[in-house]
Amino acid sequence: MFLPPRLRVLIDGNIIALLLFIGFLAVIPLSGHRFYMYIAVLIMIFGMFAMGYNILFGYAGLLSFGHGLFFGVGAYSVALFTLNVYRDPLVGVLFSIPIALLTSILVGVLTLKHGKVYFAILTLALSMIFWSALVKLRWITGGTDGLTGIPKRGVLVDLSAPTTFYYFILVFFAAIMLGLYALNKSRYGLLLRALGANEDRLPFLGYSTFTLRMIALTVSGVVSALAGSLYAVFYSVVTPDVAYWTFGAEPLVMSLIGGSSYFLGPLVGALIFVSLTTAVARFAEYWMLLLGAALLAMVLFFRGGLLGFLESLVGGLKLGVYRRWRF
Amino acid sequence: MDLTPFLVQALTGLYKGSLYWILALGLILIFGVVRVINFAHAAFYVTGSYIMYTFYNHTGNFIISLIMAMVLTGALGVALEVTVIRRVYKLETIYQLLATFGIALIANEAQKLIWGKGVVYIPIPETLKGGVSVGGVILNHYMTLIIVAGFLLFIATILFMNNTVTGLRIRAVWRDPVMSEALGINTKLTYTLVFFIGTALAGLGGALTVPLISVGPGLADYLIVTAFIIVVVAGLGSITGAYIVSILVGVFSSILVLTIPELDIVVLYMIAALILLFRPQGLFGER
Amino acid sequence: MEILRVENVTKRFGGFVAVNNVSFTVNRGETVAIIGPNGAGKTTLVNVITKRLEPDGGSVFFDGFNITRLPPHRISKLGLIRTFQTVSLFPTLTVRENLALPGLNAGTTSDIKRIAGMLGLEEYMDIVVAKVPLGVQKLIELGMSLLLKPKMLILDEPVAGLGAEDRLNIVKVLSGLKSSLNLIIIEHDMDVVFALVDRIIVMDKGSIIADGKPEEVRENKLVKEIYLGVE
Repeated sequence: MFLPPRLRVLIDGNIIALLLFIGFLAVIPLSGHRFYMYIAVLIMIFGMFAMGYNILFGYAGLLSFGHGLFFGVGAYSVALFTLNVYRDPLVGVLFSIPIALLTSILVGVLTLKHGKVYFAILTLALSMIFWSALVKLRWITGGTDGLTGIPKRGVLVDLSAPTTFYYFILVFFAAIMLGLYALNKSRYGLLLRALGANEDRLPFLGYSTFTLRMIALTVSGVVSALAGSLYAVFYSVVTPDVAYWTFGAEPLVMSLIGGSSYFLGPLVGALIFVSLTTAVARFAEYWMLLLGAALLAMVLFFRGGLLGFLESLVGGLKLGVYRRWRF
Repeated sequence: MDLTPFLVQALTGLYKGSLYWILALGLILIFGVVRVINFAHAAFYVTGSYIMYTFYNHTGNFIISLIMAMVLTGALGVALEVTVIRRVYKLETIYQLLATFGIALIANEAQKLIWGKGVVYIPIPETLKGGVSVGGVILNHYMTLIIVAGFLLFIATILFMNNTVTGLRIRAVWRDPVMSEALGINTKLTYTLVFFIGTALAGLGGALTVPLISVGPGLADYLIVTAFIIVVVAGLGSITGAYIVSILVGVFSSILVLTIPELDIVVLYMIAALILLFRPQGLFGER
Repeated sequence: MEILRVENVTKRFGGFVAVNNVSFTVNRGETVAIIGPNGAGKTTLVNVITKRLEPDGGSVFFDGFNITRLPPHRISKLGLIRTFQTVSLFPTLTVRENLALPGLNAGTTSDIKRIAGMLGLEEYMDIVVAKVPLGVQKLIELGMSLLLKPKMLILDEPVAGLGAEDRLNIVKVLSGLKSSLNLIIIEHDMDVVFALVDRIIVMDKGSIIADGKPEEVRENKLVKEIYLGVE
């Protein structure tokens, strides 16, 4: 390709695939098929959740069992804000960002000073604290029934038409995906990957691992919360389930299915995960059983995920192929 | 002010704490020696409860059911160690956590399939139905048994670890697996043994729980979080610390239920978070 | 004028005293070797100076700052840089990305090119570090440290495990650096040590037993007995 070198560094297979996918999503409403739009919205929301999750898991090498906390914080912020303060979904979603930022920093201060094992345990514990608070603080959160009536039609924007709502989600999705891609290509992206590769070495290169981990957690937390807030607006309802630890494990499974060491791995995982769960909805009763089995199979046999498996099929052709799709 | 309700809750807390301790002990042993955080540990605990329930319904014999619950849960633990856990020892910590997490999810669902979604319980054995009076409050013999058993288990563990050859072997692998291997200790066998002991203890705890608390889906989720908090607050690896913290958590949470029922768990978790903020290595842990 | 001062530093592991009340000063422009038998406490001393380990006693001053209580990343920022005995790189990143990591703090793309050229790393630049030979990894480790623009560089066995050719290459690079920065080298290869340094500190059982010019140390009876004699 005849591109200036600076641009050539920025453009790789990931961004091309991503733009094609966004373009594909943009034309789905033209089909007029409500069901496809419904699935596409879920894929976008969980795609954001999983991509956000993987900043921590795939890049920084930190395993969180408590990402339901961030998703839940986003969902409940938008619900409480639109129901009690200002009745508008757009303002509500934007309001969840600073809340998520503060939550991430608080969680980081509590969990990041210890080892990776502590991080996994403590994030689980914190998300369970949050979950029990949601269940117990009935007068604020509505207890197990949750909060209903989160408006799609607000003072500033009216998202009640399905197509309008679809493009509302798509704008957030595209902005976050491109933002994450820019992060991946930036110096911080490199540092976060370095953190996952060998965190003990970084202090001797002049970097504070705590600060880097905090950056990863904050990005991850805010993106996850944003996904949660869009989810709440989409369903108009939010219940404590979204903060439960098994829900928080879903982006983890998505990242593993797609391949956590690939930039687009979590998105591919979300695509498969959402399509599969929608297709086998009647097996919902045994859903967790399948989830557990999938997790175990990924850990034991396919640690590279689907993208890793595909790469091993075509791999060996050229070393460059390996690098192009990785982070 | 009438202190009787507080005494009742304190005694309830003592037996609850003793059960937490039995759960936490297995978790610590497995973490210390095998270096795997066993996310499925509470699932094993609940499996013990269900096995107890099934055997008791068929035999009506409390002791036999108890032994079966221990042995079968331990056997299940060994089976999983040999088939799954062993394959992830050499991988990063992250994959070990993932593997046991997967097992926990599978176990929870499998239990729902086998024993249904309702709760199960068995009666307290006839011989233990009476009680003793403690400061005007009747303490059930069965609860006394659990409190005493928990304490004896604590003493026995300390004696076992410090005074037997097997205990020495376990402590050696705990300290330094590579060196132990070089000294001719069969670490592989030790891992399997410790997995058996740990999961059998979980089975024991679970079995002892059924006559007191109805066991059903969701219990494992709650228990594993409590166990993690106990182990982390005590300091990963401290056996004595885990005993003390288990009892404290039991008593404290029971009294909180009495004073602020809306927020009992939340307050308890908050205290744990604060302790970790100011003492990251836990109350009894070394840096 | 001094750049590094180590005062009464002690490090214990349980009952074992790995570094016992060690004091010494390094002046600007000096190139120093720390030698001693295995287990003498050399690496532990470096670990304490760069705060990979917390000292149990004593103080360390670098370039006028008391660095005893500083975290490792702050010490690196002051210009005190170290390498590791067992290569410690970022195995899943490419050589170029590894070299870019310190560049984010200090160097530039042209610096990376210059250092890569000097160390002969050009042909490996786009290969993942896990796949390059050990000798090359040692060079990357050195390159990464140089890109941090150190005032002082502590090298923990820079040629251990390398073949004759790689050794020669590294010695050549190091002798070229001597004039521009302070080097401290921990090394068993006496040819490398005598070729590079103007001063040798000998450690044994956690203490300094000799300190002086190479020729003095070579003649020191005690050193001959416990160290050079064994070789």
